[in-house]
Amino acid sequence: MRRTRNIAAGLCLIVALGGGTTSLAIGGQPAAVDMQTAPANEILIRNATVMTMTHGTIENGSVLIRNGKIADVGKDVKASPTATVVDGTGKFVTPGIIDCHSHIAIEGNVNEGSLSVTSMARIQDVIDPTDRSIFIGLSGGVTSANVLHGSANAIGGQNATIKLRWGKHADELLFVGAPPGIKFALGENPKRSNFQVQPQRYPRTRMGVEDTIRDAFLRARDYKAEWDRYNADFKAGKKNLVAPRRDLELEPLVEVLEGKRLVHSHCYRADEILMLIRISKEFGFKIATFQHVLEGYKIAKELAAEGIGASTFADFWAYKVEAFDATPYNAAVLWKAGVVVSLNSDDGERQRRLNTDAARAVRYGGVPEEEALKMITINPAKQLGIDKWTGSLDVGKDADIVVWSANPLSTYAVCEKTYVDGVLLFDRQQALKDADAAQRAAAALREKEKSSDKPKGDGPPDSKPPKIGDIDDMKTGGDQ
Amino acid sequence: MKLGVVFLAVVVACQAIPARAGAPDVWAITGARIVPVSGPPIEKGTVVIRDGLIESVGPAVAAPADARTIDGTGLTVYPGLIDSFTFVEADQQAQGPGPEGGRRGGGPPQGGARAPDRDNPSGVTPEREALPLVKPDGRIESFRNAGITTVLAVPKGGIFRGQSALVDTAGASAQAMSVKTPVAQHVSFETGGGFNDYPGSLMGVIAVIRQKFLDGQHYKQEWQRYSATPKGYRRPAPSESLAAVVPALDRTVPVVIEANDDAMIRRALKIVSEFKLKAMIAGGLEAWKAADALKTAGVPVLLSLNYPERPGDMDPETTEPLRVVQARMDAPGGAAKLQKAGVRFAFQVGGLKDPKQFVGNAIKAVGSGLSKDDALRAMTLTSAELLGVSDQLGSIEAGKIANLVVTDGDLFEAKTKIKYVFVDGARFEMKVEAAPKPGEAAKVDVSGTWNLTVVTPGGNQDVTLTLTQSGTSFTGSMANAMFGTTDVKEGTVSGNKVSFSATVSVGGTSIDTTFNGTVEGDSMSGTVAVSGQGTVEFTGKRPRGAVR
Repeated sequence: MRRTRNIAAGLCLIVALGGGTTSLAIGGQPAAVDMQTAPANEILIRNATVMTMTHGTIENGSVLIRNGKIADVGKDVKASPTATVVDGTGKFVTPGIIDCHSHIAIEGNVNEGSLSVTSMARIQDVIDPTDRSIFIGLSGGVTSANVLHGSANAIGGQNATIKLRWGKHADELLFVGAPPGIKFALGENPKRSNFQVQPQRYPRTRMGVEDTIRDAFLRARDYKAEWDRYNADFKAGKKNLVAPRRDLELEPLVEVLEGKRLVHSHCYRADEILMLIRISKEFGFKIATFQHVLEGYKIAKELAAEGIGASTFADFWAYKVEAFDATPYNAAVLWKAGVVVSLNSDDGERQRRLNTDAARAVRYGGVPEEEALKMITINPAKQLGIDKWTGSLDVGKDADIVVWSANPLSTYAVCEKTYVDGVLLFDRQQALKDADAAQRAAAALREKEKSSDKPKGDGPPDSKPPKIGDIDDMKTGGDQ
Repeated sequence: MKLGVVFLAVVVACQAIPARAGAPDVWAITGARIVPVSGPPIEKGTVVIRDGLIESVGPAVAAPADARTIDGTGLTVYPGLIDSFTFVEADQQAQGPGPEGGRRGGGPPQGGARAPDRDNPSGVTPEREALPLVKPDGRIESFRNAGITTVLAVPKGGIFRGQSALVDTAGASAQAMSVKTPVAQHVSFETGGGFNDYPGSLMGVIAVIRQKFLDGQHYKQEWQRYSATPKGYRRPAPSESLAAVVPALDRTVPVVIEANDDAMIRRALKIVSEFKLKAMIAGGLEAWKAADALKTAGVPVLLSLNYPERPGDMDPETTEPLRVVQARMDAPGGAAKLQKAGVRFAFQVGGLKDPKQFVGNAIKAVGSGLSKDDALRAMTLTSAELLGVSDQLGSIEAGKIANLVVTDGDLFEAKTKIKYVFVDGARFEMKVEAAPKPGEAAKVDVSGTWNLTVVTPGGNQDVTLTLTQSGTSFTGSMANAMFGTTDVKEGTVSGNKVSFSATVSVGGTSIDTTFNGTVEGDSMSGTVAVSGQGTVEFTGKRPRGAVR
């Protein structure tokens, strides 16, 4: 967990914002931060290197934001006289980064780990809009994230695609229009190989994981048939009908069978990746992405042929047995085979340096620079079914935009500004300034409380033995 | 006084003992300032209580001839305070696991004793009732001493916690105390489980709540069809648990969802909207942040006055998260903000260790911008309205239950003392004789026979003491027509103060009593605390000629 000086400063601000100083408006956007006002009518980022991801890189180019959308991109862009102008001289502009595997902003356990099939659990129900990991993501240029249920069970909960709209309520973070999805998991996590506390549940082997998934889809098929019969009876005008019991576990699986819900499966080993592909064919559903997929390079052709996306780590492996047979060339090999590849963080901290992870795909395997950047922008957008709205700098898309101090593939590049829907939610200069003020406000508030509310009856606080208080925890994902 | 109530109950229960002379319990508080809440204050007026109900109230009301009169000069009469949420628990030994996930449903912790079960999640006991968990004990007494005459008792533990009961804070049994049951179905986002029990996460809890309501809907439909057309349909499997959910879905019983922070309240409101529930939020520490959503949904708040407090033993070097400090600073101001936003709320004790803090913390809310009238309403009439008992409780009006608090001043002044509390027309006087300080030499000798009169609202009880003193301690016996003779224990004398206890058996129930008194020659007076039931006064004489 290395942190640059800037990030450390950013964290100070997060503490201030997350903590809510007296000057913060409550329930909406923090009012103390000028940048977080309603989208300005027009913002023009001019004279920058504009990396569009879909139609090349434009030197000395401009991006015009109007009402939260990208209104124009090019060399010769006209804005109205009232437009806010951001001088991009020497800067690089990219679409907002999309983290295709994240566990930020989840309240409570990331896993409903009690059962082997927990498709009834929904991430959308437990979005924590105050998780400061959201701000950390913004500080690294992340604007959207695929917030996934953990991988403790063969069929996990429903994921939520969110925008990092820091300061908004939970529901306002949900990416409107994003197709629903669900987390599956194969291997050591669902069979609980590496965990001290063993839950009382089936399965304990990879065979059992396969059986668990098949069994769930057999039940889902029966459930669907029951509803189909009912709907047919209803249509036929049969009297005295009572609709079948709604089953929140099986409903999302029926949606998978009907092609309405994307499957994102955590996996490592090539053999069980092929196993899940066989199940998907047996039941006639499509897998959207394999997540981690560290042995994907072994079956790149098969994945390409099936049109299944791969969302992998740049160079992170060997943290458990099934993650040993890995290589940093995975992304490059998959890309060359024609697979849509994304690089993800799976972590509240790694998310802020996904640009560096993209650079690793250039270093290991020689992926062209633009293709590498696509792995953290338009490719994850495609995998999540949100490329209509984000992932590239195209007219009409949401103004999810990052301004970098240098080429984002450079180690020296720093994210300077992050816009979500045209709203400047992270501005490094402002953040550094606000951090100081916020810390002063925090200290003042603590003093105010101490002077106004002496604990009664227990004597002065310093007369008692010291006790370590809780520290605001930073949520990290890890391989959940 | 409860002694009297218990005695009375025994009188009713045991036909052998003659019933009280049939005289109704009549009180008149005259010349007092009366705050009816339902109308403007009466600067000088009279409240008449007859047989548990308020008979009349007004400036020109005369005390009836058969009333015992309290001179209310300098006193203020308020409606009894209502606590709109307090947990009650089953005895750990008494409760086994229920048929449906009893582990969190009140039973003993079983730590992974059964495998997680999708169809039988833990903590789902909507059928559980609070009333059997209510006991007329010292806890209830402590509420009453704080001016709280009515409590919403909520079953502790679980996700579907069960059905609450509204009880008055005096009575021989839970049934006698009960005003209304069930009042509401109670739901929480309580998460236990982890990997060893379903649900083990917040998202799992929400899934369980939604599934249960869906199952309730389905259960209702199946039974509706079967009731209308029993022929040709297999009868649905009866379920106590699902049947208990149906009234909530029908909106005949409100659903109270516990939620404190902004995001959690909004989560609760999504469930309310999905199932079109008639709902209330309980807790509501950050309800003011969600005031917009609460107002739109028309959902009131049972607002906890158990404000978060800075730990008294905290290391001064500890830097607490700012949001924690801010939440503490904001807590007392929440009520005023809700009032301003037009969100209805009623105060709850919310687990305060000392129920006296109920009024104490309401005073803090007043100090943070809430008007005294609004604060009072949130502890009386609004509470009664939200809990569906405004015909019986919440204000001083003729025909309502005689639950009153009589103070020596403005309830929202810290120095104000409660003089009397009336519960169901029974008077409780807030006067407690100090126990003797140990170690002081005895200045009196209590040896001899004493005839004491214990003053209870149900009539006076005559008690005969026979004591033998030695140094600063004494022993002896206590006799009464109802409970016979029992030993005097722990008799101590310190100066002219005396203290002793005795355990009496009434109707098979053992009751501990503790007497604290002052002796002047052949006179003794003081108070007697009846375990779990309150404190009443006694006076007595040692007849001349008795052996010293």
